[in-house]
Amino acid sequence: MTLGDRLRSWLRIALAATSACLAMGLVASLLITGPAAPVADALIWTGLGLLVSIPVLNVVAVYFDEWVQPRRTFAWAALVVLVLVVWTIARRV
Amino acid sequence: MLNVAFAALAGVGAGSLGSMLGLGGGIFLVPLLDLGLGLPIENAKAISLVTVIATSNFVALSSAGRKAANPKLAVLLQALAVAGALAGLQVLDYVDARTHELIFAGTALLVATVMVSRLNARNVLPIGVTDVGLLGGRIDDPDTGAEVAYRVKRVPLVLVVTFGAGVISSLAGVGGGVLVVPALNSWCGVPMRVAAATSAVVLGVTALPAVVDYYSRGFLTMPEMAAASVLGVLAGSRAGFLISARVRVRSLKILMAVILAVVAAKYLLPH
Repeated sequence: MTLGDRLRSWLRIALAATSACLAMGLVASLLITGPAAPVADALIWTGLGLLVSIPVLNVVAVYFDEWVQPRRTFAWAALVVLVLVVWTIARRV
Repeated sequence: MLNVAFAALAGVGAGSLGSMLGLGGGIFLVPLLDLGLGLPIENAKAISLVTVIATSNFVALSSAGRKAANPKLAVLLQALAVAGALAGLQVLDYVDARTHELIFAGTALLVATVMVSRLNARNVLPIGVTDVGLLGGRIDDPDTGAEVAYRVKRVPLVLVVTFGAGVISSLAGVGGGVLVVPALNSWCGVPMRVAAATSAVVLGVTALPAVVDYYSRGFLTMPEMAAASVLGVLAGSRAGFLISARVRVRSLKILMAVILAVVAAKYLLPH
């Protein structure tokens, strides 16, 4: 199992965790009112945060795959994607 | 409560069609949330972009998706699509809402026309051909029950189209698969199922800069609606993938063309 494959198996778990956070947050937002209500929002935002981080980490997995193949052109392309995405996020956040 | 249920159902529909056709589902979800629920189009686009990432994650991480997608092609397209998405964000402030709608409608109509004009294209190499080139590959074809090979032709053309898809993604709140799938399938010789899976993998990264941008502009303000849509899309993506393995490619293309034409008409008519 390559490093990329290992990372992807973690990402599958992260995707399942995303669904769990979103489902629990959604149910909580419909059922809970009062001071505990922010818990629902926190769960949903955690789920959304996990969701949007998965594509970035998937590109990291592709980078590892292509680097060890070795298909350096594609590894460099993955690195360009990572730099562009991280730069965008850093600029906006 | 009813709005959340509608958003979840809309997500199921968008996710199943999106994963079948490699579109991410945004092109279906934006009109459903905007015209169906009356959400402002900017909010609908922000939620749609999040669900595009959900569809992409599902396809990129599922074993069926990984078998069908072409990872070398995907990473090349991602670089151009993200660059296009960043370019699109630069012009976002200078384009009004009606222009957004017209861009969305025009794109959908163009894609529908291209799909109909190439209904019978199969894009596979004759049996016995072993050289698939730098970017080509092989897949199991459910239509014939055999492994088929393909080459990727006109790579510069698809790179330019993918950059344009990135721009459209930021402006229209869709993944950009509406341009990438037909370009790969109709002009570059990539089989429909490979084009759909590869495009879906590309879309998640393409949508990411726009999601961050829409969030920072305050358009991602309905977390419950976003959560319901994402959960719907994840369930729909699973269903769509199972269905697509049992449906003929020609039927997928006709379905895609009809839906796109309806969506285009909806936005072209004044409302």
